[in-house]
Amino acid sequence: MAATGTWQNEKGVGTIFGPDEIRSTWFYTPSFYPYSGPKITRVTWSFSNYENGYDSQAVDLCYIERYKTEPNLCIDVSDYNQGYVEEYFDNRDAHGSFVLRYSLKGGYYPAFWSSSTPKNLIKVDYTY
Amino acid sequence: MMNVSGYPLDLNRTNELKVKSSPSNVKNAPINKGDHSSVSLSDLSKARNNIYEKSLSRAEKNKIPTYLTLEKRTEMLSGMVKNIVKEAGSPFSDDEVKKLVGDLKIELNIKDFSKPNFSAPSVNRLSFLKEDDKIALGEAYDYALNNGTSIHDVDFTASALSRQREIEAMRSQGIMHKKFNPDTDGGILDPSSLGRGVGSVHHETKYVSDLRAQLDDNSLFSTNPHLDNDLFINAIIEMLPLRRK
Repeated sequence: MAATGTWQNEKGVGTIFGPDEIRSTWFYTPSFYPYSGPKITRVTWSFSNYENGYDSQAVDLCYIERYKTEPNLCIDVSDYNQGYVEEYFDNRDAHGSFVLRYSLKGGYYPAFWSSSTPKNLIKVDYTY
Repeated sequence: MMNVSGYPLDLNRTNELKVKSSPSNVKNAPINKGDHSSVSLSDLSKARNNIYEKSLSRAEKNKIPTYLTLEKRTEMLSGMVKNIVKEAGSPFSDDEVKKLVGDLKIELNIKDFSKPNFSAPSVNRLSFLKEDDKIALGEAYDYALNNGTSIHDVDFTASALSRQREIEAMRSQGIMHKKFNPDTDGGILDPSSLGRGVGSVHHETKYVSDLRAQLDDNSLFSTNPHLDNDLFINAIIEMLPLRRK
């Protein structure tokens, strides 16, 4: 029977200085064993909203392969603050990283990330 | 080095002013009416500073939208500077105005976007717009200005379309992109199941509610014929939050 594991990472986004700015936050993978072979089975996310009175907020959750800097695949999760994806990231290397790409339209700028705002969360379940 | 509060006074520019205002060059100088002998270097310098500062202040108050073509943005800035020169009664030549516009473009960062980079920590989404998009948005912008219809509609549409173009650019670079569907891709969760508090709940703004009502009435952008087309309306539909459709 295959073994399973989980890693998770939490962080805020930071200030968005103007409308249409896409601000990316990386969720780096912690170092874990085995170094090769673990495959993603589920990715869970939770993100908070900016409080600048925006008209529209777009949030993409993207996967980046190990040693790469550009994403391989993204999913638009703007409409759901918390959720999980199973098949879309299935069998990807669990040592890859995730990025949340935020952008805002409307409201006031700079849009600050409040210290009281819950940090965003990415949790990766994997098997090896 | 640019002086934020006034006209950039570098050595070359100061020399240039000296040459233009020297008595031997008066007949070739850009100031070509009135009593030339009464125009001193400091008067000319003050006049230029004044025009520069007024132009900068007006341009900062009336932002030129970055979703327009660079040519159009330059044309708008140039028109604004010419108006200020006219209002001030300053006898600047076209070349002088052109130099002022060039300096203002640098100060106001009016330039084409660099090629979008998906690994950069910060990217302007409007950089994904195509040149044809900017021309079409420019026509909608002009119509809104000349007919008193909503500039905000044009602005929001530019953003919605740039989101579509961003997704297209991703796909063309081999980056897969899709919209999350909880029924087929996974599920949605309650924050408490993740041991987290509920973050702030965003309430739909009046502007977005109005857009939604206009969509329901089939009257979206009926006030601006340059926005009333499938390309723009579909971009808006994609931009609106799914849950409240």
